[in-house]
Amino acid sequence: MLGKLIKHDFNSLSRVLLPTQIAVLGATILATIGFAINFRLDYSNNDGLVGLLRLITGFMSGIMVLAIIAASILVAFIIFQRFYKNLMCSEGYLTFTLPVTTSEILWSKLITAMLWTIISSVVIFISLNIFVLFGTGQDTFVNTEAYRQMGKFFHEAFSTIGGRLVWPILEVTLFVIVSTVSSILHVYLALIIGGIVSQKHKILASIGFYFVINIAVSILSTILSYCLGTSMVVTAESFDGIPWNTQDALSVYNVVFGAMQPYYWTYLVFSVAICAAFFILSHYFLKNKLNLE
Amino acid sequence: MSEATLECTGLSKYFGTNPALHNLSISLPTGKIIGLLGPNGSGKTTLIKLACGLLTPTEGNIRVCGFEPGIESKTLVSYLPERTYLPDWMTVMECIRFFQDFYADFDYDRAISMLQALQVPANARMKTLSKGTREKVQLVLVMSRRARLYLLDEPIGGVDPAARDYILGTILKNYNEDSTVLISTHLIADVEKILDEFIFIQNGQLVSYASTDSLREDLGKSIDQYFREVFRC
Repeated sequence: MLGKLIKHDFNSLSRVLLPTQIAVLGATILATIGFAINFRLDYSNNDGLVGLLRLITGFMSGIMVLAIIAASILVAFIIFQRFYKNLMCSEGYLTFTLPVTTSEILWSKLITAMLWTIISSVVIFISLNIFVLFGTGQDTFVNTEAYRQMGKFFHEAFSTIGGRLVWPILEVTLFVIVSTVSSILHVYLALIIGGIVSQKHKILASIGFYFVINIAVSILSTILSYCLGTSMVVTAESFDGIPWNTQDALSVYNVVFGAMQPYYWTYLVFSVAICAAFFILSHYFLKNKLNLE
Repeated sequence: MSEATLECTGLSKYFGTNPALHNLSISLPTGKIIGLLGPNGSGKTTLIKLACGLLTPTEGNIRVCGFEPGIESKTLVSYLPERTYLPDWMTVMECIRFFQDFYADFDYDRAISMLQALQVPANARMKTLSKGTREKVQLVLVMSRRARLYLLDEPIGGVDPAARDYILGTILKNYNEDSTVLISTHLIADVEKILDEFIFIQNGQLVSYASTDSLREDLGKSIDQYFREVFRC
C-alpha cells in the first residue's frame, strides 16, 4: 500500500510541479542566450540599438535567477499545501478512510517531498551547468574552462589527500539529507498540531506551532551542549593542534577533519533524534487526536 | 462472541464539554439496511465518523466486525461522507482508478455501468461538475465496493428525485446478506421503503431501535409518522 500511496502522492505533486521545472529550464535557455549575446556586445559602442540590446539581454540573464528562486519557493509551498489539504481538510476524509496505516501516510508524504526536493535540486544543477557551459564562453561557443579548473582542483586534492577525501563529501551529503528531512517533518508536525488544536485558524495556529517547535528544539540543543560541556561549540582552541605553518596539506586535512568529527557526529545524531521525534509526534497526533470537523 | 457488523459499547464523544454522543451502546446485525435518524445535531454524523476512525472516542469503544477502527476495519467499511472529499483536480475516471488501486473489493464494471446510468461524464474534472453530480460520483464509488458495512451520511440530500430513486434502487440491489447498510438522513419518507430497521437518536443518546415491520404491525405507523411524533418540536 505504501507504494500506491507514493505513486498517487507523487503524481499529484508532479501535476503542479513539473511545469515549474520546465519553466526553470526554459528560463535557463533564455538566460544563457541573453548572457552569451550580452557578453559579445561591444560596450564601447553607444549606439541606441546596441544599448537596447544590452538592456534586453541583461534582463534575459536575470530571468534564470528569478525562475530558480520562484520555483524553489513554489516546490516547498506545494509540498506543504498538498500535505495540509490531503490530511487536515476535506480530502482527509478520503485519506484517513483508505485501508492504510497512519505511518504509511506519513512515510509517503515524506518520501514524495524528498523526491521532489531532489528533482528540483537536480534541475537547478543542470540549469547552472547549461548556463556556465553555453552562456559564459569568451571565444568559443562552449565554455569548458570552468570544468577544467574544477577537475584540476579535485585532481590535486585527491592526489595529496587521497581516497580519504570521500569522507567529508559523504558526511556533508548525509548532513544535508538529514537536515532536509528534519525541515520537512518540522513543518508537517506544525501543520498537524495547528490543524488539530484550532478549528478556525488552522494555518495561523500552524505558523505559531512552527515557532514553538523551533524554540523547543533550540532549548534541547542548548541543554545538550551544556551536558557535553563546551565540546559542542567550535572554538579557536579546537583548532590549536592545526599546523597552519606547514605546507603539508595532508596533515592540515587530518587535524581539521579529526577536530570536526565529534561535533559532526554529535549534531548528526541529535538531528536524527529530532527527525524521529517529529515523526513519532506526528504519528501520535494523527492516530489519537485527529478530529476532522 | 457474536460478531455484530457494528458494535458500540458505552460510546461517548465530547467536543469540549458538549456531548455529541453520550454512553451509546448498540449492536447492528449483518444483512440489514438500517436508517440512522434523528433531528439536526443529534450525533448521526459523529457516530459514523467514529466508526470510520475520523474521530477518536472520548469514552467507550466502537468495533466493525470485531475490529477497532484501523486498517482492518477500513478495508471493510465503505464510507460516504456528507461533503465532497475527492480532490477537485481529478477526473471522474482518475477517481475510479484511485479507488480500484486502494480497495481490493472495488468492482470496476459496476462503477462504469452506474456512471453511465446516472449520465455522469467520465472524463470531466471533479471541479467542473455540479454539486449534485459530484455527490453522484461519490455514491457510485462507495457503492461499487463489495464492503461489509456501508456508512452513508446523507446520501440523497443533494440529488434530484429521479436520481434519488436510482440510488436507493442501487443500494437495494448491491447490498447482500453479508453486508449492512447504515443510512443517515432526514429525508425519511424517501428512504423508508428500503429500510429494514431504524435507529432514532437525539442529543447523542439512543431513543429507539426497532424493525420497520414491527413498527407497522404493532403501532400501524410509518417511520415518518413515528419520527414526527417522537421528535415533535
